[in-house]
Amino acid sequence: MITVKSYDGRMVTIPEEKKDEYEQNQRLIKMYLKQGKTKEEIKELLKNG
Amino acid sequence: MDESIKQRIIEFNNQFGIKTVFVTQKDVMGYALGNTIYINESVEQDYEKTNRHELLHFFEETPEFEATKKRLLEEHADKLDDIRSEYELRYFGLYSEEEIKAGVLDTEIAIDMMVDNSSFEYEDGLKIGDDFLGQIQHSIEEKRYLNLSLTANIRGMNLSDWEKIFVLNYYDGKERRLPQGKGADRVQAIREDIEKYLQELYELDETSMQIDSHSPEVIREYESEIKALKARGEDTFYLESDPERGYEEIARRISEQLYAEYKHIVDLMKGLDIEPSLKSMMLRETLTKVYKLDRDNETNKGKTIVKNRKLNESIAGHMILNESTLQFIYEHIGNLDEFKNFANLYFAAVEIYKNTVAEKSQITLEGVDTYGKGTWIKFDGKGTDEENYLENAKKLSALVQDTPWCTKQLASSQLANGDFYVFVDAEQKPHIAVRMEGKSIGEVRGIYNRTRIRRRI
Repeated sequence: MITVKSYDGRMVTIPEEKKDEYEQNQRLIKMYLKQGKTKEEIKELLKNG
Repeated sequence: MDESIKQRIIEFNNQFGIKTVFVTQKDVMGYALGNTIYINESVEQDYEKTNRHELLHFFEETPEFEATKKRLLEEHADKLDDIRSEYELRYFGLYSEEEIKAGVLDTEIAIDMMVDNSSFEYEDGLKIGDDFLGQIQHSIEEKRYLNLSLTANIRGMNLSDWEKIFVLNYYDGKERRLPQGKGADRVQAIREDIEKYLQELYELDETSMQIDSHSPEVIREYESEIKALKARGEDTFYLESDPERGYEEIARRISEQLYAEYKHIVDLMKGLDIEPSLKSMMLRETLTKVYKLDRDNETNKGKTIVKNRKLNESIAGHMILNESTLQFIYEHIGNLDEFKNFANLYFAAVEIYKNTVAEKSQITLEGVDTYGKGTWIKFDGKGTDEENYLENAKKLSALVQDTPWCTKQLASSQLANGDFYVFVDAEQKPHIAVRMEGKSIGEVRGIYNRTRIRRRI
């Protein structure tokens, strides 16, 4: 397990093998938030991916 | 990264027996592997906060953590759904909404509250985190103490209290296995092991107590000696010009001193009519642990500290083991509710001994008027009384246990170099120490500050 930063700068503990996928998702979340999307919209966008 | 921050983190983790390594690695704040926390110093972050986060993860499976987590979640029960919902985006792709609602991240939530990593403001979170880590540190320290918690099967054995304590602490199930069999045969086998072990401890020679010249404690002692010489305006060229020689001389001197101290304890024990099991446990204890009263720490005054002794590294003196302290320990082993652990029992024994030292050892120094404020006590060093200086070292160490002076740990080394004087007040409390180096004054210390003497008592 490693500790990395989430989209909102908080510490998050995740399995090391998931790091790249995790960081990609968090980058997308940040981008969608900048675009003014709501949390529910972001979850749908990520699920549909 | 600031070196002082690094040092703070290292020392903080040391309290828990955890190592710290600083790494440079892309995009990772930190991680833990084995018994080590790794902090990425190339990432801009609050390093101490990240360390605390890693440290809390280390102990997330302890009963203490479960109790703390339960308390935190119950206190925030009305907001828990909202808190959990906050974690959905943060952990997207790792856990589903259903899993998060069911509490799969509750450990993370509790840890985040204790390190101020939560988006919910919780004033007491850091304090609860401190209390939790304090509990963990305490339970780690408890394990260093001589184990006195008899299990049911040991309690039922037909042995004396100290023989039972021997059984609890000596047999490790690996190289030392509890004798099998029943009844008198087993008891006999245990008593033979006690005698055999005691004999081994009696026969330890100086080769098993050689301090490594590069031990961190030797190096620290070398630096202290240079500092003390400079404070007295003395020449330090001999020591500073060749540090390796300095380390070796200090290591050799302390090795000899510690062995002489140990042999003194052994010779004393051979002459005492006390159970062999108690003798063996006390010799084992002084060889494997360093006992200290922490008077230096403002918040922990009177706290007992028990550290592991490494025979090739630790320079602190041995425990004060003589007829008085051993008798007290022997007689009070049944009062553990009062003392809670062996360290407290030991220091209570030293306190009793200390009182007798002060009463019996007062002297009058010619031409010195103490204005009725107290008396001087002189401890003859090796040069004055070679036969008794080790015994004097025990008395001196006991007398100054409640002071911040290093004499409480290094009494025999100091008496090897000269006499020692302590000024005590009417309540036998030490106030001034004068250490002699041969016929010269080596050092004078007061009680309230490491370097200055208090002007008025």
